Amino acid sequence: MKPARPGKKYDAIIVGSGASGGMAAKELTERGFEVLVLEAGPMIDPVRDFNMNKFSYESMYRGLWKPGQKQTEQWMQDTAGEFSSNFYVKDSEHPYTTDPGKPFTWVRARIVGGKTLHWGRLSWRFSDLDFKAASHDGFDADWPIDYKEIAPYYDKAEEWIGVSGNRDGLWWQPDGNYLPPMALTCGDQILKSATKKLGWNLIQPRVAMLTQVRDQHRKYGRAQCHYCGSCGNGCSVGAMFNSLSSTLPAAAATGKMTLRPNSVVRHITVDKNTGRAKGVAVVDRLTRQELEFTGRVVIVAASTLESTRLLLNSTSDKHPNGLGNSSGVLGHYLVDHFGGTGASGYLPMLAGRDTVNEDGKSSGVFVPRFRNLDAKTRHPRFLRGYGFEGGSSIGAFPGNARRTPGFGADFKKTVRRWYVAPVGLTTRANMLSRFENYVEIDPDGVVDAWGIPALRVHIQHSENEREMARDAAESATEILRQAGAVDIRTQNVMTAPGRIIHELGTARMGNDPQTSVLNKYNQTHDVNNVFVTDGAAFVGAANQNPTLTILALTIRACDYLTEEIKRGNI
Amino acid sequence: MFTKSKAVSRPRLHSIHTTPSGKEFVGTIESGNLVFQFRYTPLTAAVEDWRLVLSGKVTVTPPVGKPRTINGVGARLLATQGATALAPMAPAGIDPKLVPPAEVSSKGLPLTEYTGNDGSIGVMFLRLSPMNGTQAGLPFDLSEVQLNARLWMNSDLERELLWLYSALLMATKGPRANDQWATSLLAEINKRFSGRS
Repeated sequence: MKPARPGKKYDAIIVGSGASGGMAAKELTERGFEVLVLEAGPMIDPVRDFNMNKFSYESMYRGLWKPGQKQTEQWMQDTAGEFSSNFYVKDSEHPYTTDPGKPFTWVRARIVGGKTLHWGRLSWRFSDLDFKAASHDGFDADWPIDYKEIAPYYDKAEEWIGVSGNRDGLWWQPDGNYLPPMALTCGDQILKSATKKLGWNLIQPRVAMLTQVRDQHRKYGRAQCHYCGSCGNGCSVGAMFNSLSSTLPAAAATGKMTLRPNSVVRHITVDKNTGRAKGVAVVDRLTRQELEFTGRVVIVAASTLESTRLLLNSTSDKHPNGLGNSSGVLGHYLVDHFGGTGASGYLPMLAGRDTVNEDGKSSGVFVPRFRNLDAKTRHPRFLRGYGFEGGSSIGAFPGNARRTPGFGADFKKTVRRWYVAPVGLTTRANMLSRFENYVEIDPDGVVDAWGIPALRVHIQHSENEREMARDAAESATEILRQAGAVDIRTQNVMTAPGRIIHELGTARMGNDPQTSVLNKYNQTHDVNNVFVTDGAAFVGAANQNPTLTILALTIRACDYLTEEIKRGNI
Repeated sequence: MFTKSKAVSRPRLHSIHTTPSGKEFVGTIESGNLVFQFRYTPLTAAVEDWRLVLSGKVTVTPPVGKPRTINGVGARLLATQGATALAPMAPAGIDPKLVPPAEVSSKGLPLTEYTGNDGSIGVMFLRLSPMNGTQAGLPFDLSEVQLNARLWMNSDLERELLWLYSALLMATKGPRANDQWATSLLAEINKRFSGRS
């Protein structure tokens, strides 16, 4: 790959190399654009740096943290362990601030590939129940797009990344084109029957894991999933979609992409006469050298809050409150899904059975939303809805030992008997988009290790989320009861915002420049050569995982951008 | 932790990451292959404009040679990051009036983890001043250096101070901020700084 050249004017500068940045690089280079991809973190070598084939017993710390590391360096990285901590930022270098008593968990991966290196892989489409949620219940605003407009881009995204799953025929959970699904476990089947008896659905998760390799996957060396179950430590065979093994190689193959790791973008530079973007100002993470790159278009895909931080830090005479912020909406309507509530227990009909390898597929089950779909399912105390993730599978470690009383031979016998029968459901719920949940540049001047102003996050759950959480805990318990589970424990505490790592919003799209930051093509209303293509663009969170929608929106934005350039509008 | 600045002859050090060691905050500063040990020792605590302000001394120990000490260095709290971890218990014998009120959910609805009284400070961001790189024996401009104090507990004193800093934050910046409450908490902090607790 060519080295980045400060003097050269690129067709497009892409900030970020994760799901959105990688997809934008692929889409634009394939259309002939000369693209510079700037990634704040280091390059990573799957063979050297992924720990897919490490078994936890090989580690002195059994795959957990080195003593003191979590407390001093990576205290917010709840999903990381010893074998994946290299994917995440050091929190000590990347501060942000919060309101007293209102924490926010901001998990970040500054590395080539971003969070796609360790993401959960669940790939759901949104429906018009989500895009037009305000029309259904009167709260907040609709998205400026509908399902019909985005469906072809969902098709493209699914085809490229490879999603395994079933076509389940649920109108509010639209079907796509899938690779063969991963099978349910025996316990999952019991849960499925129980859920059906309650009038709800339980389906196989749609996951971006190759259960079958097609030409577009084979071309870049991606292999079929071999069910090793360590997706979170990095998938060095590319069975799990990540930009490092999929979109970035495709972009590189065109010869049109320059990828510059260790490039921390300070702000977007603008022409002082026109206010249009000229490029970006960068500090090299390692050498601390200050650089500037120029481009015809800037695509901001640095992850939801990093993208908004970058726009807020890009102040100038033309954009005194940040680039794209003439509406004053930039930073507002922050949401995350919430979890934490749910239920767990044991299925007695499975107790004492022989152990089998059930944790290799690492996909579980999904109970799609069943509240507020229509008048019949309307809940009297809250708007929107939630789904459940979970299932029943034997894991590598007997986690039940922790909650089993006793000691000695009887203790071991009890642990062995129930270890093969766990069952659990946990909530993934829609948090309402509210103006008062927002981020801003820290007003007290806190900066990161490179002197770049940090974010302050203001967020808390409303009574709508709490009502939903109570209903979710009760419903999960009901499903487990119906399944005949025993020793059921209901979880009633909601996760702190950010903990599900689905932070979304803060640069929402909309038709009205007075009330939104982006138009329906992810282009800022204020500056027509700046696009924001990641989760920041979301109007609402729905309750489904967002990455597939981010990918579809990115492809759509690239289509539009290409046409606008052809028309001479950019 | 630093950038090359055109305006000053020395690169600017933006922040120093530290963790507690008793009442002190300790960390390291790297310059090329050299690693300097950093220590901030707070001697007194006060509240100015509803913000915690510590006063104390900085000690920088180079890889070779004698430590340098700068006395009279203030550490003014800029902002905090909330912890997503269990909050410590209130110190034994603390006046119950000093305990922040518990988070109560109307209608018994689920609460959010680590919020309100169940929460604590994860990191305090403080501005050190006056700080002089030459005086500290460091090749940096320290004029705007930020002390990032990651709070976690290895000892009873650290646990108590974390609780007191967290309660003081609620007393100065929380929804029920109260001057008298803050003054009483400050007295508890100063007791621990002077070793009288």
